[in-house]
Amino acid sequence: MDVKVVMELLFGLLTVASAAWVAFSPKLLHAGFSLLFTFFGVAGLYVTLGADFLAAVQVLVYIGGILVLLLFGILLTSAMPTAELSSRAARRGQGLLLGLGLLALLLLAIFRASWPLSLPPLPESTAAGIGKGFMTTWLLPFEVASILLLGAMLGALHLARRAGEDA
Amino acid sequence: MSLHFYLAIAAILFVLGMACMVTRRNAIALLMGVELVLNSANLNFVAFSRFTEAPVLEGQVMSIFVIILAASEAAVAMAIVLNLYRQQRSIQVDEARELQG
Repeated sequence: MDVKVVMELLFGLLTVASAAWVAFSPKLLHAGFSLLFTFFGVAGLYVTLGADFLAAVQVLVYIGGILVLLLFGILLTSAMPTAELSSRAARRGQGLLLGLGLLALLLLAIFRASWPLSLPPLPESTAAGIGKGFMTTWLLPFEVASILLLGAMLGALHLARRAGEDA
Repeated sequence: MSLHFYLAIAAILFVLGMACMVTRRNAIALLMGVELVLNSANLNFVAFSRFTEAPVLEGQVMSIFVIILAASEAAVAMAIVLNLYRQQRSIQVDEARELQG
């Protein structure tokens, strides 16, 4: 078997298995650490798709930023981080039913549809193309995204302040 | 490996994220489910831009914008969760019935 196929299968399996643990782990902290492997597996899948810059962004932002934030949140808000997550049995049955139905529908759609397949040649490195694109074709969304980030930062600061505390 | 492999992985990720959001009551676990769903959307964007006639970089740029949104969403949601915890000493979402600060 080709090395690339092995890598794809390996990263795919890692992603799916750890995501299942995120969804069904009885302990919240275990779910949080399992999310690390999910993000890493998705980054690996990006590499197999030829998206090297995106894989780096995935590792930096998701693992370095969002996951650390979530783990901080878990540790700050639970007196006992390894305590059981309350998850009602009835809800679990409904969730399983909904999930399996949705999965069957999606897989049916994926394998029945006729996609306009082609395999365009990959650029040597995607970072240069993405950088040029941000400064030309996608300049407006790029600037809007920067304003959004500023707004989110100020909003998060405002929300996290203690009530009655002056700015 | 074909487009179908990546689409199937993304579909499984999406369903697991949905299941996480439906069954969990802890606000941070809900956020984890949201991140799973966003990751599956990103994987779809990149896979489609690789295997169809769309320009290769367009799907990747779209994914970067989704990551930007996810980062700002996580920051704001985390601030709300910590505020909720400070007021109620609990972040179970079915116990949070008051929105007025």
